This record gives sequence, structure tokens and C-alpha cells, in this order.
Amino acid sequence: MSTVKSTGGLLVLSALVVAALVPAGAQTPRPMGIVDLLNIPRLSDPQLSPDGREVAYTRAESDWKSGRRISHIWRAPVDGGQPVQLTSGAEGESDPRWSPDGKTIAFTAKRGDNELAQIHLLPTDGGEARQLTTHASAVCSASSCGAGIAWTPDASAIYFKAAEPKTADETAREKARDDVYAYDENYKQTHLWKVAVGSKAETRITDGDFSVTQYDLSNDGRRITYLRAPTPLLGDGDKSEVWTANADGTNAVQVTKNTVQETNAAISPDSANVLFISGSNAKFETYYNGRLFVAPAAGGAARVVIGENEPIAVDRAIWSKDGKSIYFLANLGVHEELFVVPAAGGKPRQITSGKHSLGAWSLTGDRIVFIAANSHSAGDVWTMTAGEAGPTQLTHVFDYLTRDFKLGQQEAITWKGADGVTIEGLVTYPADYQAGQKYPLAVMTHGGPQAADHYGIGSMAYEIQVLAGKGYVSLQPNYRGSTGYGDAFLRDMVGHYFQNAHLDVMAGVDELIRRGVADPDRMVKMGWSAGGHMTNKLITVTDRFKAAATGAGVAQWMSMYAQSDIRSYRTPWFGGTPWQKDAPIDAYWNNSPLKDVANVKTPTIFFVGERDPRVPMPQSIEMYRALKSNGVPTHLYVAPREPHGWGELRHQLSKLNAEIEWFEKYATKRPFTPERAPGEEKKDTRTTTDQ
Amino acid sequence: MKVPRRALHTTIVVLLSLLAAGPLAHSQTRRPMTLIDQAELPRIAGAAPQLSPDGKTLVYLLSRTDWKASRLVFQIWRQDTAGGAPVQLTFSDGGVQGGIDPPLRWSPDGKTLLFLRDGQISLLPLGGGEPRALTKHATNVSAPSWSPDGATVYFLASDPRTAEERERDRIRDDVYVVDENFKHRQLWKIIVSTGAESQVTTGDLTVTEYKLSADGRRIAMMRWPSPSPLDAVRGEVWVMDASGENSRAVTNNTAQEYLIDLSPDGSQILFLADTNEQLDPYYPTMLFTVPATGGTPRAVLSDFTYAFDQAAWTPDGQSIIATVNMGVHTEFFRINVAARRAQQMTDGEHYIPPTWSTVASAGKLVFQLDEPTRFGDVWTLPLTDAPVAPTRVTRQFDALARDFMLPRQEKAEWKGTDGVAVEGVLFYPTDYTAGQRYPLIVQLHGGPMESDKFGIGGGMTLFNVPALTGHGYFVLRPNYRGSVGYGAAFARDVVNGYFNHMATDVLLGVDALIARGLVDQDRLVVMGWSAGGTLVNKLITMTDRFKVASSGAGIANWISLYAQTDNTSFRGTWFGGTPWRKDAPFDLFWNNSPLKDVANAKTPTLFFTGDADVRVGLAQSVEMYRALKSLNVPTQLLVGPGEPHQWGGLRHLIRKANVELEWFEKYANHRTYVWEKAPL
Repeated sequence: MSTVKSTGGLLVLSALVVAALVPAGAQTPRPMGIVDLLNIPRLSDPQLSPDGREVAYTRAESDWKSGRRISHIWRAPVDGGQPVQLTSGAEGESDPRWSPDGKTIAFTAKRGDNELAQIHLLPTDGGEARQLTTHASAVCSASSCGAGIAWTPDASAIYFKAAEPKTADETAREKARDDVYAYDENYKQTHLWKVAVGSKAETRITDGDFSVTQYDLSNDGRRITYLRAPTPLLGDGDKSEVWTANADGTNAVQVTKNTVQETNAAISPDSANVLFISGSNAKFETYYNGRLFVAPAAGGAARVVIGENEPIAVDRAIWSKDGKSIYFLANLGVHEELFVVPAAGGKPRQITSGKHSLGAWSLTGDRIVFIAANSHSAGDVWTMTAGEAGPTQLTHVFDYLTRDFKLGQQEAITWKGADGVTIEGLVTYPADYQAGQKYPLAVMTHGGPQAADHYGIGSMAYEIQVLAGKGYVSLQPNYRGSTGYGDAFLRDMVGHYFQNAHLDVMAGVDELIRRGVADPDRMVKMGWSAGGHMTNKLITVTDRFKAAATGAGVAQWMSMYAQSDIRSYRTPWFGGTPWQKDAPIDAYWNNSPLKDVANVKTPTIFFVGERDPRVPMPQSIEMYRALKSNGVPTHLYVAPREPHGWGELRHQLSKLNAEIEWFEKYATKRPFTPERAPGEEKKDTRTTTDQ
Repeated sequence: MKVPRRALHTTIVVLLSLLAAGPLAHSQTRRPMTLIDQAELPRIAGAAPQLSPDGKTLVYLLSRTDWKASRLVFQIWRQDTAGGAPVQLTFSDGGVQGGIDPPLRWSPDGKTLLFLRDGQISLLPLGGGEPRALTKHATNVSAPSWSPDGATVYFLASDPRTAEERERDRIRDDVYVVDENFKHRQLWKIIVSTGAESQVTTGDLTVTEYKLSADGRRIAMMRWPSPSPLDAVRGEVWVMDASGENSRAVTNNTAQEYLIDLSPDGSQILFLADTNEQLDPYYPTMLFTVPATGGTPRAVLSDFTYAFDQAAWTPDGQSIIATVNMGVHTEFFRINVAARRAQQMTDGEHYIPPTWSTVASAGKLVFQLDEPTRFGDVWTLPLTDAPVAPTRVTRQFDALARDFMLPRQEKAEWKGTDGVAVEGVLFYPTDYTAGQRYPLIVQLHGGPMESDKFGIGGGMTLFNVPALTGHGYFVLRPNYRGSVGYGAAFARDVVNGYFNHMATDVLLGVDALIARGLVDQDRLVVMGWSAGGTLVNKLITMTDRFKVASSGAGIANWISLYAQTDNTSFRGTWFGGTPWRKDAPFDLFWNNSPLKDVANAKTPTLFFTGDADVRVGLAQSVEMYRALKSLNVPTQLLVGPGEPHQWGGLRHLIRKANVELEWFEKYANHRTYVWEKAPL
């Protein structure tokens, strides 16, 4: 299906045929396999048409030929009816944005001979898209670099963000192999541009030795707000500030001045105020749950609208059409909900409610469209207005999952931490769960750690439904340090990292054993990123897990502090940098899994991407070589080209095969046959060298 | 040049004094070497020069600078030992291959020259005609050698990637398992007349080196469980029939043996190991022999101050010829094996690289001498017991002292804090005038089980001694504590706490030059690479006397480095075990980590690292760089794409030198520097 090149009716038909055939072909539900998991489509970026009658969104499908997920733009009617696929470029498309008159959808894509993403315009009443920009560097999309494209209200132009192009001198040097580069200094500043839709003329909006990392255009098109950072490097995020300016970039005014990172800057409809979100308290001290702030656009003190001393974390916010209220997405621990709050402050009103996590959402007029996922759906598109009683489901992409697969039931449970604090987590039961029986337990800890696990179907990092199909019960604890449970809960890590966090996980394990669900002799531990740090820590404090798998986890906080592209939140964990006078080295070392690595007995495999800038490969090497040297069964799997989150399908397949094989070998002592990529079923290839 | 037969050391000393006087003599046209001059100087390098069986003809590789490819290209040259002009034998654009295991080999009858090109063996008829490719092996071959009858050529080659592996790569199903994704290297042979290849060794093993017996019937080899340096200590000496049958282990220990050689009668095997007599690790390199039938290896000389570099049996099997590191110079020794007595054969201000060989049929030793004004001409020496002066065969560096102002070299001596004598090589500014003080660049060698010697050595590619002295700097290359050539205690000062006397030895060496009135104490610079980079990192946390520093591939944090490097064996000795074991010596690891005291650093510092460096990876330099950056100390980290531990890209090296000179001139001399531009 993904190789179909034509547009229009034929393509739509073929998509429908395939969509219809898949569920029809499956007679009885079966356990979900690894390839089944990787083949689940993902929807994102829902955008209502100006008349509110249609929604455009992206749908990503696994393309095993290219080994990647490729996103295309789809359109669905709001009042019911079949979605239609609008684009089908080989490299995919992103950032669908309706023109104010509804006649055009702009998007970004790499197409044809141009190796850089450019803006394209698609007429909504039929016909091919045409390329609008011919920018010398790639046009940013919301998914690739944090700031998408935006129409001016009069539809005459589109704003976009792009990095400065390579200079002729730089190109010549590369060609001559005179290519030594200065680390952390070889970035390109990113700036704001606009392109006229009629003349295709491109105009620079911002210029100078700084980067625009995100921006928002006012409703009347006369003002902009943007986040301005000294460099585009994530490590400089704390130095970014909110600015406002005329839409042509003149009369720029700095709105904030603090040492924390702001996100989600948005200008009010009357251009008088700017809202933004920051993981800081009202005094702009760092390391708190996300709060919603509003500041005068001309500069002045910012006030907290919502989030101060409340057990929620604000994730994203949008001004209402009249500017009197603000819609926001709140993380409430195991679930996420949409709220609306008076901009002047006051009591927020919850709009959605459910055992779900909410993905991308947008607001047009008073109508919201959003993606909602849960234990049996990766997230269809839904819509509602603040006044409606409940949301309406617009797409049914994931109905096939419950029809074709035996899925595990998911529920939230609570238990007490060592200090009596209530901890919450998600349990996903085996697909064929029978009460009273004990099952092998897979304990998964989320990344961040400033995050929380929500209801959901899982991912390549946390394959809960695949494990459910193999008879495992999964526990996803929102351990101390997670967001959505108040500042004290989050800040338990400040000063030490591993204070209650790892004890909370083990208390959750004991709770499932006490309930008679988990078999204490068949337990495994897994996690990615901060979930990997936790895995590395736990194998040094207990040998209760029969096998473990760590993805992109930390070994040693001192070396990690330098190696990672982000330092800001590591400083509060340990009370300073490891480099300052009288540095808190004890806090760094005592919280490093490597310190107690001599205790490890658990067979553990490690995964890391060769190009991971967040938790780079040397961290995994430290853990792996330590275990190897101490005679503990271990392997380190490295994926070429991959950043912190692995993206290529065959890499993901390798990870899942190796991980489940490891668990089956050491915890359940069952044979395991690795799954093959579609089309390669007959080939006898193996990723693992384990004998 | 024929040297009259005289007592050798006198000759060399006289010769060297004459040569040393050369560059000081005034000349109208001479000028200091520029970075580009250095880079474009053709050198005899890349492979050990080879003398024909009759001793009449020498072949060697000569480098040419290919700016387009940004690397050195080597071609084969021929020089008759009787004299005459050298003749170039190969001309292909990419040149021929260099290598540590000599890739140039005369056939036993002296009619054919074997060399490597494009990863395969080629044969060049010396009587005329073009070379022909001999092997068509699936992978690159190395370490070729002829059977004594000339009918067969042996070589090493890695196992090829399987069709399945290649297919997986193609479809990017390419997750790999660290330390397990290697390919074994096996011994192969090819029949010269038919081109038929066959594999000599098989199984789960890697051959790292091998030697054929004089009769061609037996083979001694080093056999490792994998090609990874991490497994080096698990390598053992083995012997087998030339067919590959009847193989048996000769040694069984935890030492890394290397540079094995079979005695002419095949009864004994000599090898080198960085151990003491009991094969305990981390001692200056010792020379051992072991019966080829197995047994306990025996140190040939039990009480010897110097470190062995290379060794070979004499044709009669009674003696071993060896080059020995004596600190600031290297010399030949002849060791009577039965008597266990060593006799020094050469003496001078020079370095003898481990590229020499004995040619029994010619009764000659052929070797290179790296001297202050001749950076590696080839010499021969008769293999007789009587002291004889060496004969120079090549004249590659005749023009050097004529065209350029080269720095005067001398040995500098001082005392460490504990009174132990320390020395180094001092290079004078090319425009030196007595009584004037000059800025000083301290250059720190790697290893640290190494030493800096007279000559140019590595002083050109990474350290730019000719150009830096041409810019008016003194250069001091100290053999600080931990260096070899000064006995076991000196080298083992790093055991149980790396920085025991190492850093203070360097600082006292600087003080000695200031006290002598040579150096301006306000214009001090320090630079180093690898262990030298680590020492720079340490020094900038101890003192702010250096106005600017350059640290290449150095270490910040010994705990993380222990895991990151491909070579951990000796690091456990420094700190008393792994950082991962029960009750690990964390304090020793951390207290000796430059990062621990980085808050003290005030010296503007450049860092260099290759992004393909597996010895001291990028992550170590990132730790130092980001620490200095956060402390607001002027710093830059320059990364060489594709570069391993030793940088090779010519433009990378030129850029490194330019940036260094710019920083040195700015922070130490308050002068502006105009970058040298490499030709396009």
C-alpha cells in the first residue's frame, strides 16, 4: 500500500480495501507479535479546517522496504464518513496546515531532486501539490525541529523556521577534507522567515547571533512571539527567553529574563499577553511540574495561571478564540486530560475524562480535535467542543486491534512507598489472564524521569501487549520523580536521584506478588533512557530479577554530565556541577549504578544508538564491560545511525527479538523463535550472537 | 658515504657533531621549515626498507604528499647499495600499501619483489616488466612472507563477511553486538605458480603474527582468542607444521607476547613482553626465549635497565641482535644467548625505528637512523662481532640541512622532587642567540611507556618541532616518570597512583631551563597527545604557569576511560584492579583523574580528538572541554572526522597545527599568527 504512487480515487480505494481486508482475514483473535506491534499505524497533528467540517492529520505506516515509518496526510469529515489519503510522496509529508480560506493545505516534505524539506501547497478541491519554497536549508517541521509552518491570517504568506545554510567556504572545506570541526560550535543558528504565496519571495524575519527555537503568530498577523536562545543546542535551553516583535521582526522586546527554559510561547488574540509553559515554580526556580504562565507582551512580570501547588503538570496550552480563557493539556499521572481555565486565573474546568493518554491536539474556534490512545488503541482522532458532553470519534484506524488480537486488560493500581507515600502505576494483564494464577512479571520504568506512564498500547521500548500475548503481566510504576503527582513527588530526586524512586518500584513489585498476580521467581526488568538508569540501578541492589534489559541507560553520572547534550536538570539532582569548586562528587558517585556494579548478578543486555546525544554509547559501554569483566551474562547491542530513540523498523525488530529472547531464556526458560521482517520470513537471519 | 673502520661510537659522535654544526652555519637561502614544508618533505616510511638477498639492492617506500586525497601516498623505490641515483618502481595514483608487518618482501632468489596494493599481493619482477597481482582474496591481506623455496607465499587475512551479513547490511538490518562482531584473522598460503590459495589455520582463533622456520617446515605464531586488543593478554605463542597440522601451545600465561622469532635451527622462539622475569605485567619490555617444544620462558637478560624495541636471531643462532630504548636514544645490542651478555653495537644522538632486519645471505643488518638533520636515511651494518661503522645507503635527507634552519638538539637533565635524575630532549629556536630568553613549548609523549628521543620521530606530524622552533620557541620533550629507558622503578612510578612524580618531573624540567636563562617564565606552553594529553589535562589543574595548552586524545576520568578504551590491561595495574570489582579502588581512580581538580583550571586549552578513536574516545575530551567551558576558561574541542587515535589526514593535521600556533602566539606571545594555507 505504501508504495502506491498515484493520488486521488485509486489510492483511496486501495487504502480502504487493505483496511477492510486485514480485520476480515483474521478469524480468531491471536496474541500480538512483534511485527504486529511494529505495524501499528500512528496518527498525529490533527488540524480542523477553517469551516470546522473536516480534519486533516498525518498517518504513519511501517514501510519495511525503506525500513522506516512514513507519514502521509489524510483528511476526514467531521460529520462522519471515510477518511481520504491526500499525499503519497516517497519520503512522506508532515505539518498539514489549512489556509485561512480553507482552499489549500500547506505541508512540508522532501520531494523530487530537492534533498531539503520545503513547503508545498495542496489545493483541497483536487490536484497535485506544488512546491512553494526553494530555501537553501531545510524548512523546519513541528515534528523535526520544534516549530512548524504558519499561515498569515490573510493567507498571503507562510512563516517558517530554518537553519542558516552552509557557507561556500564550509562547503569547499568539506570537499577538500579539511573538515576538522569545533565541538558544540559547529551549529547553525535557526531563524524565522516568511514566504509570499503569490510571488514565492522569501523574506527574513529574524537575524543575528541567536536562534529562534519556537514561535507563534498573532491572530491579526501583526505581532509574533518567539523563544530566543543563544544557540540551537539543547544545552542552552535554560538561556532561552520569550520575546515579542512586530510580524516583520522589528521592535523586538524581551519578555522574560530568568534561568529556566520556557516552551509553548503563544501570543493572545489581542496581542497584549503571551502565555508559556515552564517546569519551574513562580519564582522561576528550576525542576518543578510544568506550570502555565502569562506575561504582558510588552514585558513585565509573568504570573502563574495554573500549576502552582497542584498535582498536575501542564504540557501544552492554546489561547481561546476570544482570549479570555486558555485550553491546556494536563498530565495527571496515569492519564492526561484537556482543561480550560480563565486567562485571568481561576478554577480550571476539565473537558475530557478517560483511561487514556492524549496526543497532539488543536483548536479552531471553539472546537478541539485531539488524538486519544489507550490500552487497545494507538490513538484515533476525536473531536468535541467545550460545551459538548462527550467527544466524537472521527477515525477508526485502530478498531482492528481488538478484533484481531487478544489484548491484555490494563488498570491503574496504587501502593505505598517505603515512606508511606501513595504510588500509582499501570498493570497490563496477560492476554489470557485467569484470576488466581501467577504470571511472569515484566517491570518497565519510564524515561524522563520527568514524565509519567499513561494508559496506552505500548511501544518498541515498552512492548506491553506483545508480552501480554506471551503470558507476562507488566507493571509500569510512576515512581518518585514522575510528573503529575505534585512537586514534592517530582522533587524527591533533588539532591540525590535514587532516594525513593527505586524503592517505589520494588514496593510495586511486592504489591503484585501480594495480590497473587506476579510469580516472584519469574521477574524481569526493562526500561529505556531514565527507565534504563533505573534498570541499571536495580540490578545493583537486588538479584530478584532473573533477566534485565537496559536501553540508553546511564552508568556514571560524572561522565554522563559532560557527555549528554542536556545538563540543566542533572545539576539539581546532585547539587551542582561535577566541575565546580568543592563539587558534590559523592552525590554523583553514590547515585551512579556503576558504583555498586560488583553486586550485579542479573543477566542483562544493553541497547544503545550509535548517535545518541542524550545518553551516549560510552555509558552503555561502562555497564556492559563491567558486567562482562565480572562474569555476568551480558551483550551490548548497538544500532548504527540511531539517536536516543530508535527509529528504523529493523533496529526495533532486533531490539524486541533480543529482549524477549533474553527474558524467555533466563526468566521463563522457554525457547523463543525470533520474528522476521515481513517479506524476509524464510531467511534464517539472526541478530543475536547468543549461543 | 663510506665510513672508515674505526671505533664506532667515536665515529658517530664526530659525525653527529659535524652535522649538528651544519644548520648553525650561516647560509643565504636557508629558512625555518613551515608547516607545509614539513608536510611535503618526502620520507622513507610506511614499511621497513628491505635489502636484497645478495645485499646489492635496497628497496623502500618513499612518501609523497597528496593534497587532493589529504594523505601520504607511498611508492616503491630502488637504491643500489654501491651508489647511484634512486629509481622509482611503482607509479599508481593510490600508491602501494604500508604496514607494520613488512609488506615489501624479496623472493629468496632475489628476482621478484612482493608488495601490497589495493589490499592484495602483487609481484614485481626485478629483471623488468610490470607487476602482476598474485592474490584475489576476499578480504585484504597482510603480513606476507615467502617460503624458503620461493614456491609459496604465506599471508594473514580476516574472515570475510558472509553473504547473509552483507545482505543484512544492505537492508540496514544492522544492529551489532559490541565485542562480538569481530572477524577472525587466519593464516593463508598461496602457490605462486598456480595462484591456488588455501587456509592454514582454522577455528575460533586469530593469528596476529607468525614466523616461518629457516627450513620452511615449521611455523611459530601468536594466537589470540579474538583480534581485539582487550584479548591481548590471552594470546599465546604456538608452533605448528607448515601444513597447519600438529599445532601446540608453547606458552600459557597472562602476559602479552609479541614480535616472535624462531631460531635458525627451529629449537627456540624469542619474544618480547612488557613484564618482569616472572611475567608479571607492566615492566619495561623484556626479551625472552622459550623452547619451541614448550616450557617456561626465560628472560635472556635478567638485570637490564633498558627496554627492548625489536629483536632477531643472528644467522648462527648464537646471538640475538636487538634495538634497545635508552631514553633519549636507541641503540643496537648484540646479546650472546649462552653467556647472557649484552654488547652495545652503536652509540649516538639518534633513534632507530623498529623497521630493521637482518639479511643472513648478505651478512648485513639494514636499518634506519633518525637523526637531528637526517630524518631516517637507511644504513647497513655487517653482522660481524667486530665493531664496524655503519654505511649509509640512501641520501634522501641530504638537502634538509642545506635548505632549512633546523633546531639544535641536546639532552637536558634535571632532578625530580625525590632527587631522581630526569632527562629529555631540548630543541633550540632556529634563530637562537645566547643570552636571550625564549618562549617554551613543553611537549609530552604518549604511552606513558615510551620515551622521546633525538631525531624527529613523531615530532613532525603531531608536534611540528621544526616549525615551532622556527617560530622562535624552545621545545622541551621530557622523559617524565613513567617513561621507559630508565629502569623498572622509573617506569613503574605510575603503579598505584598514576600521577606520583610524573607532573612534577615536567614542572622541574621547565624550572631547570628557566634557571639556565634559556626560557622566559612568562611565555610557557604545554602540549601533548594520548598519555601526553592526559598529562596536559593534569598539569592545567595543578598550575596556571602555562599560558596556553593543547591536549590531544587525553583522559579526563579514569573510571569511564577504563570501560571506553580497547586496551585496559595496564590500567588495572595503575590503580590496583578494575573499578568494577568488589571494594574497587575508586579513590585511586578518581584522585588521579584530571577531572577531579578541573575547577582549578585557568589555562586556555585546546582539545583534539578523532571521532573514530577507540583507544581514548571522544567522550573523554568532551568531559574536559565541557568542564572548562562551564568554568569560563577559553577552550575549544576540535574533532577530526574519521580519525583514529593517531591522526592521519593531512589537512586535519595542518589545521591542528594552525589552530595551535594561533593560540600559542595569542596567549603566550601576544602576537597574531597568519595561518598557513595548504595547496588545493
